[in-house]
Amino acid sequence: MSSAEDQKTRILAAVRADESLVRSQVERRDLLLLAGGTPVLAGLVLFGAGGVHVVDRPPALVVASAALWAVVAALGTVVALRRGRSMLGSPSAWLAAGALGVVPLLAATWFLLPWPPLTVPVPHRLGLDAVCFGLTLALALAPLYAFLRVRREGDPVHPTVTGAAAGAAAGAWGATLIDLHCERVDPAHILLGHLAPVAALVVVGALLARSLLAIRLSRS
Amino acid sequence: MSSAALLTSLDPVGSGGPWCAWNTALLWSHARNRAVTDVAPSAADLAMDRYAQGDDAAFGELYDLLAPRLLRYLRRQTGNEARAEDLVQQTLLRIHRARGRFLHGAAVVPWAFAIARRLLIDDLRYRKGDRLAASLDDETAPDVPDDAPSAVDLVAASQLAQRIRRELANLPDAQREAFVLIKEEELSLAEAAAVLGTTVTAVKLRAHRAYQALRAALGDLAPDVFSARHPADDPKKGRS
Repeated sequence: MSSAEDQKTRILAAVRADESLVRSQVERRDLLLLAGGTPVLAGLVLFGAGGVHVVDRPPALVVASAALWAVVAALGTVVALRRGRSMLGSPSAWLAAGALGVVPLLAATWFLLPWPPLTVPVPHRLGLDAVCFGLTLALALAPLYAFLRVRREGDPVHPTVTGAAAGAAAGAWGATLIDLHCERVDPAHILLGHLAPVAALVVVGALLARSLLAIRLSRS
Repeated sequence: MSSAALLTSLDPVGSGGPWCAWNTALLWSHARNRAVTDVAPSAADLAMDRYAQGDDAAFGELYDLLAPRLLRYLRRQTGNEARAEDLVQQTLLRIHRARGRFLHGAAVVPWAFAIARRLLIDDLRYRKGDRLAASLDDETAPDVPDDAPSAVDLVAASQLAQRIRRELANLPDAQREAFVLIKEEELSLAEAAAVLGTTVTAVKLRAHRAYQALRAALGDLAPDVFSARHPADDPKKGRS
């Protein structure tokens, strides 16, 4: 048997011994993960944190703000996960725009809304910022896991920037949910408690991507 | 000897394949005229699509269509048959494991080369540190003249083929990689750029530099080959 035939036999045997999901199974799994498990988990975290709070905020503005942030998060998700018809994913410039554009877009949409001016000065408390920071991260965990799972070992060209875009999208979903929960409207808190964790998740996504999205040589 | 026979004798892998047409005009016009989106699905694309749907028998067909090309590419990049074979095996296993994610209508060849390249970079990092791996990504992309260099007419047969192999091995990794993907593996500029994670302009530049270096190295053996050249390729003007 020649070397080429020997290699083919060896590879075909390895493939037969190694189960892999077919397209319909992958599509079903991804749908369950993205449309089922992730919203349920994130909802449970929100519920555990106390649910939706409107308090003194105008309800229409709360709805508008959450809706706009949800649109930004959805756009970020599309940018991070969309592959078009190419197995090599979106161009890196497109992914970088997604990773870097989410936080400014969230900030712009929030600050452009006509929030009523604060009549009584609210003391700025870093403790509250930290609570919202942590809660936003917790709310973003499920979407981040789902996004990275869906693209796992699936980016042979630019995994880091794909991970950053996935982190941005997951952070935007977390920020959308925390916006429903947190009644504070002072800009410093929004920046530190709601938007800073999104920026942190961009970095986390990029770091995780090296081990989760990249294709690595297995050395056995 | 006829020019066709001379050109055929250039084939370093004995396949009668792309090396027969050692012709830079082809390199540019062929690559420039193809785009990722407007080519009909290849046999490999169709086989991969069937495999993604669950037709296990399609993998054998896919192997026959991909493995020789991957092996040729990896052999050229590593210069080591055993390592190249190992990387081909790992590449095909990755394709197998990811078959459920293969998109209907997508092209499998650029994807396979991108996986192979990533595994190769990982292998180089493991063996030699980041030097070679980094060198595959190190180019910026200044403008490149659009006009194609002139076609090759006559060459000095097998001696030149050997020299080509040797000089190609001596090229910087990024240039050799771009040149091999476009010239030998017949990927379009857009496909090669996607595989390499860079721009079409950068790929053109790398292939152009590779051509210039090969011409400088081989011109003495085959002066006719490089006699009619584009002004931008004039060695007196220095290499870009």
